[in-house]
Amino acid sequence: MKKILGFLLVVSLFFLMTACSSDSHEVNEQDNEKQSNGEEISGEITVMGWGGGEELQARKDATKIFQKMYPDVKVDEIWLPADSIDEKLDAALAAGDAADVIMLSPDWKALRAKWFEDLTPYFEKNNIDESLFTPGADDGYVLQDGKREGMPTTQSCFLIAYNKEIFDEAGVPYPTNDWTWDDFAEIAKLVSSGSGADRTYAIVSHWILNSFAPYLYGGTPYNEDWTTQTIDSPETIKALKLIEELIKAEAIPDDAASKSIPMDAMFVTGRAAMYPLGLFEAGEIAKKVGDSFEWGVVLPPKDPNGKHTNIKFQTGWAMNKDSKNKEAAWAYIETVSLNKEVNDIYAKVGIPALKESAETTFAEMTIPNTDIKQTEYLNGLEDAVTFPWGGSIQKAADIFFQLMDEIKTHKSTAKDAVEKYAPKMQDALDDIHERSH
Amino acid sequence: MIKKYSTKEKSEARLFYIYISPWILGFIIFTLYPIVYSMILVFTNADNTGIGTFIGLDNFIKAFTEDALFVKSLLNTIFYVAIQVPLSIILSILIAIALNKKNIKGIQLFRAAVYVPFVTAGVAVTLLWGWIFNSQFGLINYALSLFGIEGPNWLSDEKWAMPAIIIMMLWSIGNSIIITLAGLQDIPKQLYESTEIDGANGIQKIIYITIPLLTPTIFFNLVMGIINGFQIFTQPYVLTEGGPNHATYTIMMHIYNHAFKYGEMGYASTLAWILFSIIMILTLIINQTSKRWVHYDN
Repeated sequence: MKKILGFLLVVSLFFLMTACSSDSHEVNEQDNEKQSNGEEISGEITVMGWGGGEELQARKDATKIFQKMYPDVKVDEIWLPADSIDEKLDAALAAGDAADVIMLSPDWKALRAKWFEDLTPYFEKNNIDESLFTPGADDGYVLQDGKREGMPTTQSCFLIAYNKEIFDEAGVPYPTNDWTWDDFAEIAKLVSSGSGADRTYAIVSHWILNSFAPYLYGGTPYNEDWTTQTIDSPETIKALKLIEELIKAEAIPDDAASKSIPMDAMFVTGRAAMYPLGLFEAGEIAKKVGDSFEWGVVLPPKDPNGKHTNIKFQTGWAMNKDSKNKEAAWAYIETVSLNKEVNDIYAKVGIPALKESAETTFAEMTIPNTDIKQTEYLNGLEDAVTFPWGGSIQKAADIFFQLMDEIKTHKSTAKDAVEKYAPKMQDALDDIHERSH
Repeated sequence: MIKKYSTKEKSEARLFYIYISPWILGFIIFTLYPIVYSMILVFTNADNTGIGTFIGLDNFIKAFTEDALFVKSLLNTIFYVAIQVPLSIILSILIAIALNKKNIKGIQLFRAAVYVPFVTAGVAVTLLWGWIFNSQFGLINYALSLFGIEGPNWLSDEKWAMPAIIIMMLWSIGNSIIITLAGLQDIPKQLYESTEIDGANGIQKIIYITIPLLTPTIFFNLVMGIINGFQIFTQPYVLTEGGPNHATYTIMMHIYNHAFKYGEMGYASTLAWILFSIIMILTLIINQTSKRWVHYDN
């Protein structure tokens, strides 16, 4: 009997201990959960960003997820139309009244870096592994001096959409991802036909072509720290000559022709064989094309280094260095940048920063109104360069666009335009750097 | 001796200050302060946040010696003003004379019709004009093609882009027309009757009676036209973005670019003050010469 009682006692003690252990484990888990759910972070933060339509809704939904995770943090959101963000943000920063968390783009080229907190310590403290990011998404957030001014959220880049019927009529095989700009030039001449108002062009004069132009043959518009213009490099001149040649051959509409009809209308009405299709406009273009003709997408042609020429637009979040609640501000930035649920929402409006979401949710989606998979946008993002003409570079940008205008209006040859504008662009870059110091 | 105010006068004065204070405050905060602040910025290299260091007259030197686009934009603006303002005055007078006929049925409707473009002018109308000027599908070139004329590339041709903007702006001179019409109706009828007795024909009546007595109205329209003309921005900004090749790039666009695109508030303020000075000098000149050519009926 003693043995039985002893056995029962041991069993009871065992269960008691395991029960205790289970309880304590549960408690620990709850604690962890509480911590990870941010119940220890509280207070109020203001976030300021821009956007409209579905994109804005996605950003608002991201905030909702953050608030679920951090119920003690009150988030005030300020959303502005994209075209008024600069003036309002600068006014707020100058007045010392800017939001704690501020949406930014790396194409601002450090324009407002002095107002932003260096996120490197936060990044390191949380052991954030850069491989978590979609390849190409995190480019541009770490500045020349090593300061991390932001964390990525959404990205967008370009594919070339092509009208299969025009290619078929011209007897030209559809382009494939291994095509080069020389192939493009050849194809462009073959698929364009007709004259005057009935001219079918090879590709529309999309505004992004100006930004593509310097990169076609591996050139750049300026060096890495944008202290020196490089539009007079042989690679860039060769690229600009190609544009000039295609305009003269009426494969690309010149200034007058491109102003005669909106660029999207030119493609959707079958007056252009190809269209540089930004992710942000893909659904709209697809809707306009409807059943008019069959079309496909391909990565932009490769430069001589084997890289697909591409431009990316990125949006991320920065922290106001004067924020009164940096802990909550960082929690917001980290959540909207790396949380899976948030990134799955972002996948509906752009390429999400989190690789896991990009490779699953985003890649599985099709361009709205089509059965064309979005996967190629992911491939395009990796080689893409950050939009080269934003923020601090605006002044140099205007000079480069003027150069392009002279080519498009047949006022100058590419070579003459470069000779005329390269010194001006250098002056602009010198001026920008002088002012920033 | 200090005048003593009655209680009623004091009360009235107090009320006056209370009622006027919202406007005075608004003026001080939103007009006077920015004017004074921009005057200070002129001598700095302030950025888009208004922060900068003192650089003396460097901004003025830069504008007149280094900034070729400033000169180009100024010349474009002067060209615009020199053509658009006289044309708008001449057209206003002609249309106002036509609208001054009282024996035409539905004249009120016509009067309202010429004023409507002035009320609706803006970005939307400018975009509409973009289509009207479209080289391939536009109304103007279509109309020209009916007469066998091949219309120009209005907005893509350096020679035609600014004339296109002038044409568009002439469409919205309804305000000048209405002011001129009011001026016309103010001319005493007996003056026309007396010239009729003297045997004057219609053109002579316009030259010797209408135009001289309209000079106060012309003077007003001229000054306002110059002030508004030098500040033209929206139409070229929306229609051509200053192109092609800066053919429609105006001084206001240059100021805007430096202030809001390049973040050079100091330099932009300098350009704004130069523009102000030009307008002020021209207005003073016109005002001084007006004694010789403006005739008031009293």
